[in-house]
Formats: sequence, C-alpha cells, structure tokens
Amino acid sequence: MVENLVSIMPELLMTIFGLILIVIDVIAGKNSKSGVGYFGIFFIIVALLASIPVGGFKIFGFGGTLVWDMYSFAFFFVFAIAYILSTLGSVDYLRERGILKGEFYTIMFFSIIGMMFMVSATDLSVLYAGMETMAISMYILAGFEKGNLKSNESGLKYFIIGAFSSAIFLFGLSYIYGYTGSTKYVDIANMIQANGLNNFNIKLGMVMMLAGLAFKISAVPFHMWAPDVYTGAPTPATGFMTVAPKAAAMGAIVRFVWIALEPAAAQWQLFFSILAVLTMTYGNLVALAQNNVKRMLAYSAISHAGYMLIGVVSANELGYQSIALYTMIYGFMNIGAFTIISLLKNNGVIENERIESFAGLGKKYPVVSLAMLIFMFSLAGIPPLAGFMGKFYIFTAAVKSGIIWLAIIGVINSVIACYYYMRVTIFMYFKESEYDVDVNMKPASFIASMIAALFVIIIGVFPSFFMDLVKYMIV
Amino acid sequence: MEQLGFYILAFLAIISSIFMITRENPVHSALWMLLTFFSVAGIFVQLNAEFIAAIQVLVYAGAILVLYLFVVMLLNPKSKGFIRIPFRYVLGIVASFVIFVQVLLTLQSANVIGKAGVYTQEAYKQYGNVKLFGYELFSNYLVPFEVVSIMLLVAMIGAIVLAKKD
Amino acid sequence: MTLQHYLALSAIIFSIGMTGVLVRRNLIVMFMSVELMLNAVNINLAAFSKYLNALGGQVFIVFIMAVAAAEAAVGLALIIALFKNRPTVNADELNTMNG
Repeated sequence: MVENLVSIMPELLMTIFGLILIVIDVIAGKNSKSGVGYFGIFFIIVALLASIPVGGFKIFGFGGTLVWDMYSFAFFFVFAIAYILSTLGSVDYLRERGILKGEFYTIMFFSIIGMMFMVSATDLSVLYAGMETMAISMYILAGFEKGNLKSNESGLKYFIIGAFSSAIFLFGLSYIYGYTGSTKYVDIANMIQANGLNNFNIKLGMVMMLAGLAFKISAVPFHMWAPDVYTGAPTPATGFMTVAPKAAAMGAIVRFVWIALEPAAAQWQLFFSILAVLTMTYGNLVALAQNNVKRMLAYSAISHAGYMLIGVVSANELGYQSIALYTMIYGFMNIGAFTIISLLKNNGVIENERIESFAGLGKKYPVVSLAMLIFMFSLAGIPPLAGFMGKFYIFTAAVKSGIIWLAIIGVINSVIACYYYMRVTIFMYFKESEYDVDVNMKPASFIASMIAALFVIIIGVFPSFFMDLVKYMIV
Repeated sequence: MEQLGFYILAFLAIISSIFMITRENPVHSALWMLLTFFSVAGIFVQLNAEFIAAIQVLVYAGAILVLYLFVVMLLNPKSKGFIRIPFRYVLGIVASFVIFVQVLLTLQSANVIGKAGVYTQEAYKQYGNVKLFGYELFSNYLVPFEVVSIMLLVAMIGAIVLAKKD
Repeated sequence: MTLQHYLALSAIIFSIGMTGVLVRRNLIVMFMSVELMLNAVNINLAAFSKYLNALGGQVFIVFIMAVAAAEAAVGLALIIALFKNRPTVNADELNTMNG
C-alpha cells in the first residue's frame, strides 16, 4: 500500500496541481492569464523538490506497473526545464497574437503528467495511456493558434500521422501481448528468454512497436510530419514539442528495450543503428538548404534525435545516462533558440523567421545576439559549451560498447551541422541588415533566454555536477 | 453454427470496410463504418467479450460515429478529395499489401505461448464476463485507467479551446 | 474456430484501414480509416485474450476505445478550426509550408 502511494506520488502531486491550475484559470482575469503559467512553474518546482529520490532509490508500485527512481526523476527534471523555459518564453508571443489563454499552460502541464507516466511505466498499458495523453496534448498545442492556417495545418498533420503511428504501435503491441500473454515488461522479457525469437509473432510485434515509437521521436524514415508540424506550430509550443515529447519517447524506448526486449538486444541494436545513421544524415543535409531559421531548427531537431539514438544503440549505462544529460542540454539550448526566434519581428515583406531577419542583429541588439550565438554554437557542439559535452558523452558511450563506426558518423555529422548553425551567426554579425527588424524583448522572455544561455555555459564548464545527477540512474 | 456466424460477420466486416474507404461521400463512408462496428461487436460476442461488445456499440457506434456524422453534416465539405494521383494510389495499396503478407506469414506460426490464465470458459459461466472484467480492470490495470481519465480531461479542454468561437 | 481465423480477419481489416489512410485524401475519411485500424487491433487483442484465458487484452480494448474517443473529439475540433479559415477537408490542400 505504502509503496504504491510512494511510486505514484510525483504524478499524483502533478495531477492535483494540474486541477488547481484549471481553477486558477477560471478565477484569473482576462488580462492576467499569464499568471496560470507562472503558477504552473511554481507548482512544477514544488513537485520536483518533493519527489527527489536518493541515490539508488527504486520503488515499484501497483504490482510492477509503475516505478519511481532516479531515471524517472532525471527525465522529470528535463520536462520541468522544458515547461519553465517555454512558459516564460511564451507569454509575450501569445499575448502579441491574442491567444494568451490559460489552457495553453494547463494542457502543457497535463502533457507532462503523461510523459512522466511514459518514462516510469513498466507495463505496456501505462506506456500507451501516457503516450496518448502526451500526443493529444501536443496536437492541441500545435493547432493552438487557430486563426492561423499554418497552425491548423500543423495540428492536423501531427494528428493524422500521430493517430496512424499509434495504430501501428498498437498492432505490434497486440502481437507481443498474444505471444507473451502479458503486458508487463518483466514477463515479456522472461517469455522471450524462455522461448527464443524464432516465432514470427514476436518479430512482427517488435518491428511494428519500435516503428510506432520511432514516429514519436521523428526518426527517419518516420519523420515526414516533423518539419511541417514544427514550422507551423506557435514558436514557443515548437520549442516545447522538440524537447519534451522527444525526451519522453527516448526515456520510454530505453526503458522498454532495456527491460522487456533485453533478450533481443542484437535485433533492436541493428534497427536503431540504421535509424540513427539515417536520421542524423538526413536531418543535417536537408537543414543545410533551409532559409527559414525555424524550419532549419526543425530539421536540426530531427538530426539531434539521431544523436540521441546513438545512446540507445550503445546499450550500456553510460548510454542512457548520456541520453538524459543530452535531452537536458538540448532543452536549454533549443528552447532558448526558439524563444529568441519568437521575439523577432520583421517589418519588411518577408516572414519573421527568415534568415535575412537576423542580418545586422549583432549591432542593433548585442545581448540577444550574444545569447543566440551561444545557442547556435552549443547546438553545433563547439567546446566549451554544453552541446559539446552532451555529444562527447554520447560518443564516449558508443566507443565504450565498441560501435566506433557509429561514433565516427556522428562526429562527421556534427561537423556538417556546424555550417548551418554558423550561417545564422554570420548573418547576425557580418551582414548588413536589409530589413527593419525589431526584437520584441519583454522581461519574461528575456529571463527565459538568459537562464537558458547561462545554463548552457554552466553545463559546458562544469559538466560533472550534472553528470552526478544522472549517475545513479538504473533502468 | 459458430463457424457460420463467424464467416457471416467476417464477410460483413470486410465488405463494409472496403465500401467505407471507397465511397466518395463521407456520409456514406460513416454509415458503412457503422456496419463494420456492428459486425466487429458480433465477433467480440463470439470471443467471450460481451462487455466489450456492448461498449463497442455504445462508444464507437453511439458516440464516435455520431461525432463524425455531426461534423460531416456541419461542414458539408465541397471538395470530394478522392484519389486523383495514380502514383499515391499504387503506393498506398502496395504498402498495405506488404504489411498484409507480412502478417499472413506470421499467422503460419501464430499461437499463444504465454501461460494460460485463470479466466476459462467455466469461470465466465460461473461469474459472468462483466464481473471478472471489473475485477481485472480495478486490480491489475488501475494505473492506466487513471491515466486515461487524465487524457480524457485534456481532450475535453482541448476540443473546447479549438472549436469554440472567441 | 481457431485463433488464426480471427488474426487473419484482423489482418485484412488492418490492411484495408491502412490503405484508406494512404490512399484517401479526405481528412475525415482518413480519420475513419484510422478507427478501422484500431478496430483490427481490438479484434486481435480479444482473440488473444480468449485463447490465453486472460482478460488483459479485453481491458486494453477499453483503453483503446477511450483513446479513440478522445482522438476523435480533438481531431474533429482541429478540422472545424481549419474549416473556419479555409473551407476544405482535402489533405492535398494542406500545403502552405512547402520546402
């Protein structure tokens, strides 16, 4: 009884806070809806502090369907970062477009509950329910700016592909359930261990389930929704969508393949290594040709999923520790970059997010440009910034488990990626501005981008503290 | 008798789903989908899942389908949106066919290897499907049940936000 | 009736649903085809549930149905939001973001 309550306590706390947020939303006046978001930040920090596990703490609940441990906590930390930064960065953007509603923050808050369940699930039913909670929230966030055709399209495309992919996931799941007779990860692993992989059922089930999960992390060739969805969604929502759901799906994939499909390690390592190579290469090559910075970052989000997959393939402890660290770092730098993009206002004829908008920004707005420079350098993986440390640990994990060729492809890719990230900084500092561009900097988004930039530097210089945070993670 | 029932229901399900995806008018598609749902409900009854069959009729046929019909009639879409590009037509059919053959290959060796549970025919006769179902739902599957309730709340908020006028 | 009968039926319906999603361009019919795929999954789960003498599969069906209902609500709300800006339900006309 007690262990049940302890294992579900963080999610329970978050649910209670989420319901309180709905009430706050009703009470809040029409012009003070941003307060809902700020209350959400307060709540999420309280929940985070209340659920810190110590050292190698690990507690199973509800007959082994749910677990709370350092691993779940590290991912909860990533979601909290994503929520805090996107909320701070979103207030001004949403207000300017007249869509500042409390629901934006409540839905984001509830999506985090779904993600937490995904990562801490040790049963397929909890994984599925959490995944759908997350997915439905994301469809709503993508289509939130309903007066804008692009946002409508983005939401609908995400919805169709999301529903289609979860149907494929479920079809695979049904075969795995049929073969093993259980939805619990441990039982599945035992059945596969005892009966081997010669049965077609389990192979078909595995491939379809992993393909369904690969849709969620936008791995090539299951990526076709990602660029349009990320480009069309409201920019702060895009920042959140590129970080939190991806982290959650990564966490869930690692826990699932590590426990349930542990006897089939060779098979899924092959599957994910092919996906990793395709994802990194495709994302980077297409990003090279983009002139819209938001779309470029969408393709870069695809390629970053590829780097994270290297951590899955390496299948050792350092591998998943570095995935948690990488998603954390990626959260800071990517949401920071999206916050700054959301502030640009081009008074010329072209779209706000075109790369030409960045021309001459370095002289006009030195602080903002410096922050953007930090994010771009970090995304490119230039030392001593955080992005470099993240990639460094991922590649170390790959080398440690002997898949050096994958690490080499990763390094080559991050060199290619330098080009398009550098291009933004070159436009900022070395080009004369053609258009009249304003940076609509208000306190909240200023704080968000500064926090993000500060953490990118801190993690880059002192990575050991953050590595300690994930050191006690055991799947 | 059981065999005959299965073949009739399966035939109905397959035919109506083929008609569903080939009708140009979405209202006709929705009505053919209704027939599919009813036949699948019949198959659930054959599989000792009376409760699921009832839910299938209530939720799918009663709620989801009405929602679809409501939206189709509300919007009255002009664009038919049927196949025009042969390339996509071919690609779609080939992709599905590949999946279908894969699954058929699987079927050759399909059997259940997991250990047999306690819910046998006799248990159903003694306690009834609904009672056993409720026991299973609220003992082993309590957590996902609660998560689904959160998901329904999110969907409700989202649907209101997206569809209401400001 | 053997397990294979039910699995074959489910495979056929799944393939038809998948064809529908890939071939049709009417958004509403595409969603309906996804529902068809979910129905195929449900048949699978119920059949396995029967032949395993377990109820886990049947319980899972209820979750899938709840998710299908929630997805239908959100998806149709998204279609209505789109329709207010641009009166079309054709997926090929969703192309404002080329590149």
